[in-house]
Amino acid sequence: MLESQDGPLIIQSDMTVLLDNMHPMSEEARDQLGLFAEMLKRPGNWHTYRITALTLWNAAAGGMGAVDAITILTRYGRYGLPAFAESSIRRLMDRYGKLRMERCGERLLLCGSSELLDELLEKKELEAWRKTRTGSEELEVCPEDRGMLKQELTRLGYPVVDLAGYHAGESLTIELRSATRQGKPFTLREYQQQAVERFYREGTVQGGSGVIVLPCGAGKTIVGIAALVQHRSAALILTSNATSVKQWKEELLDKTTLQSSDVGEYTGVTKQVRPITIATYQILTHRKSKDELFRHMKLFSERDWGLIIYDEVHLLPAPIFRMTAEIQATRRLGLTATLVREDGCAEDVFSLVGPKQYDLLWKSVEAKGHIAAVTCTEIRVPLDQGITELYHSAENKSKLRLAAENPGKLNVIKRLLSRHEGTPTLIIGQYLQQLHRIAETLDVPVITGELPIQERQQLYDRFRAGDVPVLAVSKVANFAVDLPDAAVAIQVSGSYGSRQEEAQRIGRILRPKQGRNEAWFYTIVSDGTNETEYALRRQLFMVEQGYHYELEKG
Amino acid sequence: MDVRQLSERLSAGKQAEFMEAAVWQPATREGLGWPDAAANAHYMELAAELLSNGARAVFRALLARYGPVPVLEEHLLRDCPADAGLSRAEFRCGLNELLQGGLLFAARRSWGERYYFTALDSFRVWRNCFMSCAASPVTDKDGRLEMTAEPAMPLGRQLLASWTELARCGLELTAKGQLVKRTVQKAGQPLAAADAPLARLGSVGGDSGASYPLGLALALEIARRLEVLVPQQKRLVWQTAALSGWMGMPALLRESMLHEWCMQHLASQKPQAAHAAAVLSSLEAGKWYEEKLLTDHLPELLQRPQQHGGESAPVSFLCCWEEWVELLLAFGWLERAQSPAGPMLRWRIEPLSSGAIASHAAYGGPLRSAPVIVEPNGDVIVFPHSSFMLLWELELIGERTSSADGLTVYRLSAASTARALTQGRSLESILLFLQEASGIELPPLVRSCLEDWTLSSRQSGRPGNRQSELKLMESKPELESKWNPALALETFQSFPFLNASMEVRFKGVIPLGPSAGMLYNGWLEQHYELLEEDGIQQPFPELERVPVSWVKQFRSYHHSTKKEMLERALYWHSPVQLKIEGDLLAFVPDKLEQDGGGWAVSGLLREKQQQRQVTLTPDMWEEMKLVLPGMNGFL
Repeated sequence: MLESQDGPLIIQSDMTVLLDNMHPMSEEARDQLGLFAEMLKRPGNWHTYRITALTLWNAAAGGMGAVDAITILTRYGRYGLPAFAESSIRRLMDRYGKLRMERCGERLLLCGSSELLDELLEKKELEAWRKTRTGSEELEVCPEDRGMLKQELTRLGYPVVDLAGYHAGESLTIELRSATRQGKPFTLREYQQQAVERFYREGTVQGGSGVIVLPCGAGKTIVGIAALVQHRSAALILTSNATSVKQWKEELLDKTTLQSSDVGEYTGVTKQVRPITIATYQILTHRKSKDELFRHMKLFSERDWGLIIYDEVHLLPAPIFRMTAEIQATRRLGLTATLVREDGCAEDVFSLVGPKQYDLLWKSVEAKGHIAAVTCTEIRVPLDQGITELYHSAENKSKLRLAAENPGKLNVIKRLLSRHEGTPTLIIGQYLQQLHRIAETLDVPVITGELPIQERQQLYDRFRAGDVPVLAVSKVANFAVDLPDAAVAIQVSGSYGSRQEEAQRIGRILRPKQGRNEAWFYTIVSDGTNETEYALRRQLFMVEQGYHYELEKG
Repeated sequence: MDVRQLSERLSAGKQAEFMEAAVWQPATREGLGWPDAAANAHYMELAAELLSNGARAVFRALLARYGPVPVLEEHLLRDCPADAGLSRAEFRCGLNELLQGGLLFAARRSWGERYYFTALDSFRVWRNCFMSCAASPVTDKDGRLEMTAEPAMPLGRQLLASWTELARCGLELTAKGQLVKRTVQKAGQPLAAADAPLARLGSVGGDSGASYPLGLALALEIARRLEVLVPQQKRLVWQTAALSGWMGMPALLRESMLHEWCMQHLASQKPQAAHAAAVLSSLEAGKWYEEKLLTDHLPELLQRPQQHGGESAPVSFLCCWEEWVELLLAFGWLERAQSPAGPMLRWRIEPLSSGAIASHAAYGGPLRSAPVIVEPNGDVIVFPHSSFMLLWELELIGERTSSADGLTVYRLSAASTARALTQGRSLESILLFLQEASGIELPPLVRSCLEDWTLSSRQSGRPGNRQSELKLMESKPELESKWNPALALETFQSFPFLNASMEVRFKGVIPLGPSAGMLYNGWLEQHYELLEEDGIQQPFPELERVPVSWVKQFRSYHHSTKKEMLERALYWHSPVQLKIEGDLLAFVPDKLEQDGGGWAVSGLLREKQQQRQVTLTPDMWEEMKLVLPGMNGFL
């Protein structure tokens, strides 16, 4: 029984929602839908959203009720709202706020209706937790279990609103500059301001933990810094690599009143613990053998941190999750461009770091000129005659390597470099041998993991300064490397079908540019080989974000 | 048997006789013959109104206790007269009226037996004439509905998924005439949720389908009855014309037709299940109803566990109700929710009667199917109410990723393309189909993906691909069409998307053929021989020895004569008429009892407003008369 009305949404019982982007009401419907659903893909005119327990709880955390969500879906639904979807929304959303964690002096209480607590006490999964019924509507739980218990309850479908508050942490004097040290005027962009406000919530217990999702190049670091300024406390910043550590430090010194002595680096090379300390996930999870403890985890307790920032929170490794569970009284901010975790740990991010506080579509940021408009092109190159026979007789895995390293790609790179002469260009590849060969032939410097960090940094600096117009880089440059002027990226090979890798690589050229604010991403693929298939898979994330790939024959 | 099957078996003379009955006069005046009148809800309702009171009471009692299940005469006459508040003689009289009007039929399985039944497709209309469900839909559901399960795909879609699996896996039969194990497993999957409800309803695999899961047996039974699949030597073969006809039906009618068929064939074995099906089918589509109000409405006798045929264990109505509801849920036709008032039910399809389906079909013009959307990432979105021809083809060239609520999403992939090529499609035919079905140029990425996948499929060197390449080289449509019917539809230019109008020609309701023996439910047509002789005779033995005045006049008699008259009424199972305090009342004697020095008679006293069980002593009525139903005109 499907009766249709003229709405832009098609809502399905499995909680997916399709949005007809060509519909006159699509924009208003999208704005409303985005409040409680996450976009899965937008490959063309039909965008797919998904409503999940987490998206609903995130919406409920922002003050939305089930009736609001149902009203929106009913108003814009083309074939109405399936009863099952309506019932699920009501059931899930009504759960949010029913369980609260509160503090009463030194005691940590789990509060809820007596029926709900009775229901929880019957759960086998919760048997092992230390808890005492101290009233019909409260359970006293162990303060050390705060994180793990929230994690377990979220897994069981009972989100906990954590109102137990945070400790202030060591205070810090810090302000944002109105002009950077380099003398450029500096203010937060509107969306950055909004994101910080959503996180901070005027310092109340309602704020102070959560995740902010912004596209690469949209200034996540700035948002992190602004959050830090709001809280004015010592902070530990965790990021994905040493280059990023440097960039965080530079940004902090450039845009805040902090002095160099206030900011410490904690990496494989340097171990400084200062009011603001920036460390890598790698060093924190480093240990010599499997049986050994993570020695560097002590960093979490070396100072009285008032805030922990998790940069690229989608990469957060399991030991850091465990550590995070133990420091729930500390404010936590997650930053990412792609919150979706391939390992299914999104629930852990929700319960341990906090609910999503802010999200912005890549194309929306592009439309406002805050990131560059990227033209993506796939160039198909015939397999070099010298390896054709070898390719066809090889095993599948070797085939991909042969296709990726196809010498025929070199001419296309040359042509592209000449097309974009004078524009800072990155040549990005997966295989070191191939990168070295290209770098040698074209006489360009190459950055790989083999190069000492300092030398890498020097090369990045020279690239930023315009002394090196073309730089070949391996996957070490995939994350958190800020090369603002890079406007062309040529991908010569990639890691199988990693969508995230492609997005992160494109992220390298998204920083807004002077003039026409344009950038170009090329992916060179050997025609008629299995590399084309992997290339398609890699492109999915970008395609789903609304980007299109032009096809060219090389 | 339904009306159509009955009309094929009954002589023209008998059918003409039916139309002479007073109940069919309105239909006769309109020039309708018996099969048309008996399948038309309007004339059936008029006929029900024109029945005598006695016949109405008989029909109501029979329908209530037995539904459409054939009942042995001895059981009927033993149980039903009391239900109807009639004497057995009166009951016989009413029964004859129904038989003579073609509202009820007699048949036998062996010599000397006599079963009575209504036409299967008439049951729900007759039932609603006598026991209509007055439950109203819930207008304010207060938004508090809790649903525990996602609704299933409608049965029509499940059949399509099962049949396309058959098309993919092949239709070869083993030496025992069975589909191969892998095919059974794959093609049974889409209907797996119906296996258990079908078993609980009492369905069993038929002779040749004994080893199939029941859902698949149902899919095969329907395919065979529709003549979409026919056995040919050691395989089943698709019949493209029949398949096209079926796929060309509008979704609404297809699901209604399947529902009607299931009601007749799966719910007709137990009266309780048949009543459950009929009650549900009378509800307005798309509206929520409180389940308890529906079950409470049923006749009280059905609420009690009942025994049928003297062999089986007593059957509980609520148990049958649940079985039928579970089947409808598994077929995606019904949805159930919990509310503070208890469970609620709602139709997801329009449960039209066979007559209504026929009239909808008669007015149905060509159908327009909305274009599909081909997204650049290879997702193909198919909107609700789209033609099954589209879905059939997409099932075969894509992978279904979502199919809730009528909207279906397929994903084109390397694997699905390779499979489609193996099964006789070509890159060109896939591109052409997608382009025609979407009505616009394909996204370049999709086109190039399909080209790449085709190339790598050819290069992979799998036998299937070599076969496919061979087929590409042959490029003879006749050969390809034997391989797969969908391709045949396309090749012969009858595919709807290859003509500019995108219209599907709908040629009307497709009747289902006789049982294919894949799913057995003890169907009537397999076991019963129809009897055409007139109704049962009214035996009033020794009538000639009874004083004429006893049956002609009201008179006051001596107590001993009163007793004698009552003994005669009991012997004939007939009623008597009594004058009590000046009122003429009918009384159905049940038993004579000694009462101290005198006697009393117990039985059913039919007063103007009510009827009640009473025990009367002879001084309690003044005058009396014997009644011979059908002879001295009283009922």
